[in-house]
Amino acid sequence: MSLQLRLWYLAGMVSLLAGWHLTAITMGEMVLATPLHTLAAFCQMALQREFWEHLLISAVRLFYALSIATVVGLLLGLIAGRIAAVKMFLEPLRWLLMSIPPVIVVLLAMLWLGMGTAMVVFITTCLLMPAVYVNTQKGVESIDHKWIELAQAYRFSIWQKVTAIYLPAISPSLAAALVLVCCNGVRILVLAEVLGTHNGLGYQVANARSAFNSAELYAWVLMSLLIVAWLEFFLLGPVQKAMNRWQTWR
Amino acid sequence: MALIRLEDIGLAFAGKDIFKDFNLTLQAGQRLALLGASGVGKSTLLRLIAGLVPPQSGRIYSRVKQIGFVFQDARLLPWLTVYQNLQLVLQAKGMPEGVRAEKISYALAGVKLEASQSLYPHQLSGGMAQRVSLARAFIIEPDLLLLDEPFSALDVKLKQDLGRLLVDYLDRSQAGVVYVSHSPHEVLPLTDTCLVLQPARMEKTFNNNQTEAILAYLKDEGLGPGLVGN
Ligand SMILES: Nc1ncnc2c1ncn2[C@@H]1O[C@H](COP(=O)(O)OP(=O)(O)OP(=O)(O)O)[C@@H](O)[C@H]1O
Ligand SMILES: [Mg+2]
Repeated sequence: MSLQLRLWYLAGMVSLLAGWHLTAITMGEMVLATPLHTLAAFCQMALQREFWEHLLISAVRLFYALSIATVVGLLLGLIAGRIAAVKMFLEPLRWLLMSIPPVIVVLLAMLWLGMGTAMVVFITTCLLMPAVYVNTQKGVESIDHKWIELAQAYRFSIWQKVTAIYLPAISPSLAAALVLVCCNGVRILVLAEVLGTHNGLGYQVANARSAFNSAELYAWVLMSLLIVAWLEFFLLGPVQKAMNRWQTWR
Repeated sequence: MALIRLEDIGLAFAGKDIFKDFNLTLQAGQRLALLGASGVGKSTLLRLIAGLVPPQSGRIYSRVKQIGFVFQDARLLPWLTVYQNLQLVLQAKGMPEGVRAEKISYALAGVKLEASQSLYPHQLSGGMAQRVSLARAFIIEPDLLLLDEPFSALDVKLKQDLGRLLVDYLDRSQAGVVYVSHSPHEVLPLTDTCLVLQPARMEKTFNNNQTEAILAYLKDEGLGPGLVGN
């Protein structure tokens, strides 16, 4: 990326912070803490053991949800991409999960599963899976038939078809799906935690809000953003690099 | 003993018959040249034989254990190296890991590509890629080798080079062969039987390939050297 483009990025970032600061001063710190106060609250929180405990709880929930959604979505997508009957069978469910407002899923899941980790993981998984599924299924469906012929002629095993043909061929759309899943995952997780848990990041957001502790509230928001940034950097970066290596032939 | 037998095969695409009550028997070790105008169904016949398309009617009896298929394009998986492309078909055959490396270097030496085993297909020239494709078909020791115009995309010089590699291999092999080509001169010396596919069930078979007779027939049928035909 050129220096000029980097500068534009930096300018956008600075503007955002400046806008935040100005809004905070205008509206009053009760409603919106300034960036500096938020940062101070963040540092103070980070010194407490409790902060890390809540963070760990959320991280574990996120890990479960992302793993299950990716594995199940990938498997179903691979099958549905090859077998039209399976695709049609799953179509109503996919449509339902992609169309239903997340907050309604949270309310329903709280009825079924009560408050806590199971509910949060369930919701996050359900809402993330369709993105992985759709991208995998569409990717497999559009694989050039000549590769399928090659696999048939040389009698590749199912495992070989998956690892040597399907996965590399769909890696572009899969990478896109993973970006979506990671970013949306944190958003849905926090939503579910705000509404229906007694611990974790989202619960602390709700807590800070009801205690009118504005600086702490925005410190938690900052934390959720940092998680997304961390995921993008440490998880998606290497994954996409690996996929790009596959795609050097393009 | 028949290696593969096609009986009363019917196959139509979009209501247009490509094969109707079509019969073909290939003996073990028999080498069949498959000629015919473009679009007459040569590639489709190879697909039927390889089980890549099921016939819409009729039956196929097959004793084939292992097929080697050389496609018109080299068809190497672009995200795998030359070595990995060969390794994949050995794995599919269930070849134990210990002997794979040796087999691969032997096969690559056979097509003079020892130095290229860690290249990716996009780093190969067309001729090199097609040589890997040949090596991939040879390495699994097929009892039926299907060749679909394997050299048609290459220039004359490369065609001759690769033709020689193929001759070398066929000299040492017992495999049955079905060889599709647009060039009778390329394919007839390497085969013992010739089938000229014609539309509307007029196909014609020649035993003990006599080049003169076949060329005369092709000429009569308006199938010139390039088999452009009607
Ligand atoms: N999957 C398919 N769907 C529809 N039509 C097809 C399909 N495969 C082949 N055909 C048709 O069947 C006919 C025979 O095709 P085929 O590829 O077997 O011809 P060919 O003899 O190999 O020709 P060429 O010498 O040009 O390679 C053609 O008319 C083609 O349009
Ligand atoms: Mg063809």
